[in-house]
Amino acid sequence: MKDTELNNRSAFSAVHPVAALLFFAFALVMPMLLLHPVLLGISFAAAVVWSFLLRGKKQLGFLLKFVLPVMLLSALLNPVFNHAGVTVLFYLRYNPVTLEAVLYGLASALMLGAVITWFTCFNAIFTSDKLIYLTGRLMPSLALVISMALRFVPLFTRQAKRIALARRGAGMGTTGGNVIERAKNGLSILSALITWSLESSVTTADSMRARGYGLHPRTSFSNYRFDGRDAAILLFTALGAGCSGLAAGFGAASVRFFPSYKINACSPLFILYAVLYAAVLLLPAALELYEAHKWHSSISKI
Amino acid sequence: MAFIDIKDLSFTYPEAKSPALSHVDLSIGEGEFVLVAGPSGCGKSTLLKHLKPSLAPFGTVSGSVKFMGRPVDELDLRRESREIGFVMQDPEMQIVTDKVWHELAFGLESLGTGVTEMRVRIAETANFFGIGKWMESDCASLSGGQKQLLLLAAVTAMQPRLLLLDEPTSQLDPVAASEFFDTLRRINQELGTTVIVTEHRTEGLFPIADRVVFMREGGVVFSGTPREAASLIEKDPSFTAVLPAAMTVFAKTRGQEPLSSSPLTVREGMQYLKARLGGERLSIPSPAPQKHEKKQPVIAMRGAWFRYSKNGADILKGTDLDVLPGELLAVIGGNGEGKTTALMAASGMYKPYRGKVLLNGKPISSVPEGERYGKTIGVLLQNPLLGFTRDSIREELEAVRKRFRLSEERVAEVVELMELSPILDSNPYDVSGGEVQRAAIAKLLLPSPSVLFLDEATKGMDAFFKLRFGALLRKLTALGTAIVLVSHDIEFCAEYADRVAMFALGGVIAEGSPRTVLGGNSFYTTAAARIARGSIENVLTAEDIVSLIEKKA
Amino acid sequence: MSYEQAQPDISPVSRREEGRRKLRRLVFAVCVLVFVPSVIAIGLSAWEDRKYYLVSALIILVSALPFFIAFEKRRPLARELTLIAVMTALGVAGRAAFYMLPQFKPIAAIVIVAGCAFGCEAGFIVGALTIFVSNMFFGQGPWTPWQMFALGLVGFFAGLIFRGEIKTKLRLFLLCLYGAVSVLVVYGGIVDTSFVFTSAQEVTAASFLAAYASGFVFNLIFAGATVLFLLILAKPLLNKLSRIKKKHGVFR
Repeated sequence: MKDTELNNRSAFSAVHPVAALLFFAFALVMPMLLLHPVLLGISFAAAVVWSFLLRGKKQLGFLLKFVLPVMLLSALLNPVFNHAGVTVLFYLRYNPVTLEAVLYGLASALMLGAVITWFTCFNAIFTSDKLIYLTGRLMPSLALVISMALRFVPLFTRQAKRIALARRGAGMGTTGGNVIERAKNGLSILSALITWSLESSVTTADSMRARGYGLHPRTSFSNYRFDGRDAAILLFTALGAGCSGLAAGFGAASVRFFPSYKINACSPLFILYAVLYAAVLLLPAALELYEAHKWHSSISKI
Repeated sequence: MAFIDIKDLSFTYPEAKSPALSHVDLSIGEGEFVLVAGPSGCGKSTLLKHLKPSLAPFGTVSGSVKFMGRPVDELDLRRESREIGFVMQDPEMQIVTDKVWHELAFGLESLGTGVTEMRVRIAETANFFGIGKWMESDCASLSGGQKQLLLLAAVTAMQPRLLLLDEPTSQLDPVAASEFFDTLRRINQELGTTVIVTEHRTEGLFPIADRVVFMREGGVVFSGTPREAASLIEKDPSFTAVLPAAMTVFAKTRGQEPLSSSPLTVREGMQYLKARLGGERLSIPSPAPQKHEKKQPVIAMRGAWFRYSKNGADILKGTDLDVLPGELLAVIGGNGEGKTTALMAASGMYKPYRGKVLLNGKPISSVPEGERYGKTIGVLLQNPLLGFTRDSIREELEAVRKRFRLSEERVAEVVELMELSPILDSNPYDVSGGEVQRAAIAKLLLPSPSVLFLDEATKGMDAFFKLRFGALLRKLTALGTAIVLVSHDIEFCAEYADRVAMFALGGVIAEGSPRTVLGGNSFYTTAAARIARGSIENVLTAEDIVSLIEKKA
Repeated sequence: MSYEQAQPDISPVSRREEGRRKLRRLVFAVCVLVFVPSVIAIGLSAWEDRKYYLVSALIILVSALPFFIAFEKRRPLARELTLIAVMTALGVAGRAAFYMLPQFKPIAAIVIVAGCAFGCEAGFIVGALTIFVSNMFFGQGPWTPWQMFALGLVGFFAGLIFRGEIKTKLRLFLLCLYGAVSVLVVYGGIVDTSFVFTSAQEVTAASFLAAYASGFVFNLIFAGATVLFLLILAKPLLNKLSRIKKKHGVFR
């Protein structure tokens, strides 16, 4: 259902769901764990680039109307309320505003922005099919319930509209009326919908049994194939995660904000790590651009 | 050894007074296409479910059902699921998963089929049914007919040897139904699958079926070839309602012709009639144009334009429609032409963006909703069950009574009129479709509206019940209620409507008495009229032909 | 011709398939061996406030898993599965239907009723899945696991405390009270707490207080809606469910 959100056909949406999931796990967890401003900036930038490739103009509106205001709010509120830190910049109504708190606010703003933006990419890539597939790998019954619920939601929504019309046509419902009348009508519609859906669920269960539900073992069909590219993406992501672990172990990306800030951003080890980090996170965007280019050049050859 | 052998099967539901099946004997050979017909409640669904143990109802059983020589309930779930497929009535709730490909895979997943094999089976099934295009679609985006085809495909993907279908097209429009029957015929002929189908729409299945079984009150009253079924009418004239029009004409006029030469299709009917009349051309005198006493219409729609979304296509394009008091007006027309939309606009439920709708001469939107619906207008949409929430029909009627502050006597009156007393204390979800329809109309009738709008009210009704239903509608119009019936059911409209309006291209393109509107059409008309084309003019029903021939003799 | 055992396939297609499967397993093994230690290393060495996030996420995961595994192990009947899916879809559709009123949603009420009718385990599943599925429409976020767990618990405790029909006024009152308390304390508490962990704030008493204070009004509306919906829907809905359970012969 999320396919409509995609601006273009995304190359990354063809990646095997497991590989894609682990990539997102890396992209999402890292900013939450390492509050390093430079790394956060990289992550945010990579997410923004990809989200634009995925969603085009729609993403600009989202960025301006939602992401940036949230970031701004977080960046401003932190120094106003948090007075820890030793480097006082100025006083706001007798309360000290410290450099440390400003930096911390900046870092948390970047983190929020990165996480939100990665999630918009996640929602564009992870269609219901993929989520059900992933759930089904471990928990087939649960995946089936999800699939069924997804089948029922649009059906129930439509039935609710039909019920509203039916009630109105029988003189039992209203379109106008005050809030209480409308709420009463809404509740009656909900009640009729519940009755209908529960009663008709017998049919669904019979239809499942008639097609052998309950036999063991149950397999689950999917058309995803794990190929060399998926392996490459997975290994590259794993490399990023491994190096992050090592970098953290060696303190290459250490940060401290309070009482006085200390950000390790110049050591060669850190720079090396930051480059690798950026490379991993830019992977999907690079994939999109590469495939788009290949498509255009193969078209021009025809 | 027959493929299916039913011996002296009797069955009684718990707490039921009379048995649902009594002493049924039937044997069916492999590869046969069998139609099981009969009025609702005759036990045909119950019989079908006894051939599928996992759906067999609880109750007292005696007798035996053998599938390929062994009692069917000895089949394990795996073999049963694989070899016996079952498709039910309601396409909406039978679909289990959200995507078309997943629905096709569902049965194979249950059987534990490997992914590689599943891919092949799904691809070949999709190819056979021509549904490859929808594979990635959401099931919710399919039409009712497509859903039912998908379910048929999902069952066929498991490669069953026996297909059971319980009124599979009762919720479909005629075009989708005939497409469904075509596919069923292909499955039977190209895959050799044995098919047993219960259906009210017998007209389309008679030419396909190898055998027809008629049931009544739990017993088999007839089992034989479709052509032999003509004998039924001679035994019991009420079967006229169930059999194809060509057969009715044949059975009542055949004289010395043997039963085996009975016509089944319109084409055969035409040939028979031409031969019977010896090439003579007859004509039923055109009805004298009815004198219209200038009654003021209850509802007058004038030049209404309507579309669902701002940039959507116009569904109504300057539609005019008058509803006169006390008449039964049938609105007919092709599938998806916007008949229902016209109904919604005429009843004031949708507001046209141009043109007007008058209720007793006043603009309908000036009548407040509380006055408009219930007391003046009643609208019944498809799937009447959606309006029920309470545990019994009595409570439903009571809620309406309270809402409109009516007397208890009024309720008793309507219960009497709609023949509801035997089912008053039943849960609406436990009674038959025709009974629900009656209860729903009773709810609308309580506040004595002057116009009733009914959308596809005869959908899923059996032929026998339609006779009763038609009589009921006549009773209501005699009492002064105007009824607007939107329907695909041309035979019903021809029989009962006072006036027919044919809706197409966004407006009413023809209106008048059924005979004037339908008599001249070649496609959009009754089967009897098509049979009589070229031999008798102005025919509407099989009865017309029969009485003309009898008069001549 | 039996499908019980996978036959040893020798077609080139399945051989390629087999090769793919091997590759996939190998890559996964490598990844698990790299991912898990790195997360632990980062968690241990990273700036100390961040560890709360990791720990809380792990706690959620570890405590939610048993419910799902138990559900899976029980091999639910078709009819149970259908009823759970229907209740979930009703919750999701209900959340969407009241989109114009923020927080005024029937979902908690539906989940509580499901818990009462089907028991604690199914209550948890309906609660968790309602969130998961409705977030497929509204968008997943870092809050998804916490919301799932929180609403799951609401359904779980409902099943634990109020199994069966609501016959007396007192029980209905208690159910409504439970509705209010569970939404305010269990759902609101868990989701607001997660806000402190997921957004980059210092984990201090003050930031918790701020989160609870800012969430309080929303939780109050949600709790009020839940009480209202329970008051009106609980009794008829439970009656209906017991009729359906009888019709289906499940969840006894």
